[in-house]
Amino acid sequence: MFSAAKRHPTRKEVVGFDSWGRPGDSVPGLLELWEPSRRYAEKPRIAERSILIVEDVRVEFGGIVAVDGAGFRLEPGQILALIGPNGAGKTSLLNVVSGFYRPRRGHVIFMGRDITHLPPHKRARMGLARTFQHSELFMHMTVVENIMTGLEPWRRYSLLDAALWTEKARRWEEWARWKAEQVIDLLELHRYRDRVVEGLPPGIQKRVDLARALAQDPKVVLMDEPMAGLSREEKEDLARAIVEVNETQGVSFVLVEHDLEVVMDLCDYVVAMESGRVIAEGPPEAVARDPKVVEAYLGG
Amino acid sequence: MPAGVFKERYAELMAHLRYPIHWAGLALGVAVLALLPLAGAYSVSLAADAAVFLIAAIGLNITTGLAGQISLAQGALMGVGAYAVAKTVEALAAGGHSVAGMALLLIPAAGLAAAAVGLLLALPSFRLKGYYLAMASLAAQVLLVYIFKTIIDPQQGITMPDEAKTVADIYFGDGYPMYYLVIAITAVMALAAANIGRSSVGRAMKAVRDNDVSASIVGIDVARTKALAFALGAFYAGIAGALYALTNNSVAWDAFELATSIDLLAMVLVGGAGRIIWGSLLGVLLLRVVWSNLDAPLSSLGFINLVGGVDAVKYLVFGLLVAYFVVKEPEGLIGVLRRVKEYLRLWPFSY
Repeated sequence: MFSAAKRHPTRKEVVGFDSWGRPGDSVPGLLELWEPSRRYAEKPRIAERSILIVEDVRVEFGGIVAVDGAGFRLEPGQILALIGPNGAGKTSLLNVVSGFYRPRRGHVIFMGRDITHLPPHKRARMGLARTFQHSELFMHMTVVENIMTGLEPWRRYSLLDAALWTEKARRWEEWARWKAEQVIDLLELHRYRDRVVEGLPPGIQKRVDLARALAQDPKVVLMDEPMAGLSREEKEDLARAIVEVNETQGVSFVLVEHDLEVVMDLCDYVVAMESGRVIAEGPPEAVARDPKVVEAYLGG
Repeated sequence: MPAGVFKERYAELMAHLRYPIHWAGLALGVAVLALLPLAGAYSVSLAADAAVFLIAAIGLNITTGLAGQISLAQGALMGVGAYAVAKTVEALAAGGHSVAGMALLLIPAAGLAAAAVGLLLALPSFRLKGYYLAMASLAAQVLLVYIFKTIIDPQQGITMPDEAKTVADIYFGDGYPMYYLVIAITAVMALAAANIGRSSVGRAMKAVRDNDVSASIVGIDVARTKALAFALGAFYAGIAGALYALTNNSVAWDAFELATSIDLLAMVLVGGAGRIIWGSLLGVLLLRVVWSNLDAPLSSLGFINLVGGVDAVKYLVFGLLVAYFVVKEPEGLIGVLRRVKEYLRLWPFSY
């Protein structure tokens, strides 16, 4: 089955938000505080359907080639999986997309704009969120604080406003808290809201990681091995959350994943890598049957 | 958290005074501070001195506790603030201008001057972390004191004329007016710090402290946040320095040497790093107020001279105290108090 066909990118309105994730009229007076940030105003310059294009990327570490001309295209609303044996260069490719590595060659084009040389925080502000294999949360902050840090780029008040706690700062903080609560509702994190992240179970930490990413109103979420180290129930919960966000808000996902069951169930499109190259791509069923992929996984 | 108290709005959750006991504490604190002068001149000067160091400690707690950037230059930054006031007043007086009230008027300028120097100190933090950053700030500390010694204050000691500390015939150099002024400024600075701590700016700083890689991935400009943390911490040091210049007879560089920076860092670590108000306050109370009053009781102990005298014992205890808190109580005194509170809340049951 082509699951791409059954999940069209839809931007259904979530209660309280308009289709861009801005607060609606349900919180009076907040809307005028919220100016659309630059990334909403920026129209794609290249008439291109794909939201994220990674082209011909090459990454070297002192002579060792980690990624050798790999790339993929992500369509809006798609869930794409990057699979491959250990050392295939999946995480390196993801790090190029989120801006931690500078590629020796190649381009990353996000929403029609070449972001290959943009620092990570500017990519994040354009709507490119990321979660990590080992959760890289802010360990000494509470869950709700973690989620609210994702809103810092949209802060609409100055340091002086913060120091004097003016009306402007207060109302923005209320909006931010309310916004964080929307994500908490979505991912069912109510019980953990005020708990410090350090010491929470790994499954919850992964969910907080996703919540923090979603609070940024992302267009694309890059997830590095989201299912690694989770129990079956935790995997199911996280998968359900991903599908729900994808279907209700049209957020696209790139998953680096080893769990092939998850890949088959969740993804619309699969890109298989080995030794830094793409060896197969297509719908999950086709890629799973591809002899090169089978050999890469079994033959080592 | 008291049971049965339910907040209906997010603003109520964010307020500083959330429960009746907070209001009671505030009333008690205001009453004690207002009536303290009745206890005599010594307690007034002690409280003013503690308030000055509280401002500097709060600043360092923003830089080190909130944003995680270790700084060993807070003492020298206090010096920048103090000399900014004293030197300007001296220069104005030498030029024949009126300096009436200038020591008070220049307090904000002293903060800004120190903040500018603090921004320079932030530069190494873009590249360095942890011990290396501490070494860079140590170098800055030594360099600044060298500049004080050789260029700014070669005679060791600038004394401002009394008229610089006088506004509307009230002399703010000592006594009640000085005390109330210093306490008022400290209260405002502490409130501003608490507000910044609970705002999105404060959260961004905590994010940079906890994990700067993920801070950049959620869209926080890490370099800018570090620079802001340094500048803000230095601003507080500058204000503290200006108040030091106001409350002391003369400004001399030996008050801003490395020992002061280490004292301030110890206050933050022992009190509670990251808890900008209460952590700093506890640190200052222990390591400034209690500490300076230990000499008399210690020297009355008969055996004290057998173990090297009062100073030696104090140094030893200081070192052990800091080491103990860094290793065993990273949350500081405030963490100890929190555990006591948790225990008392459930007492006499264990859970």
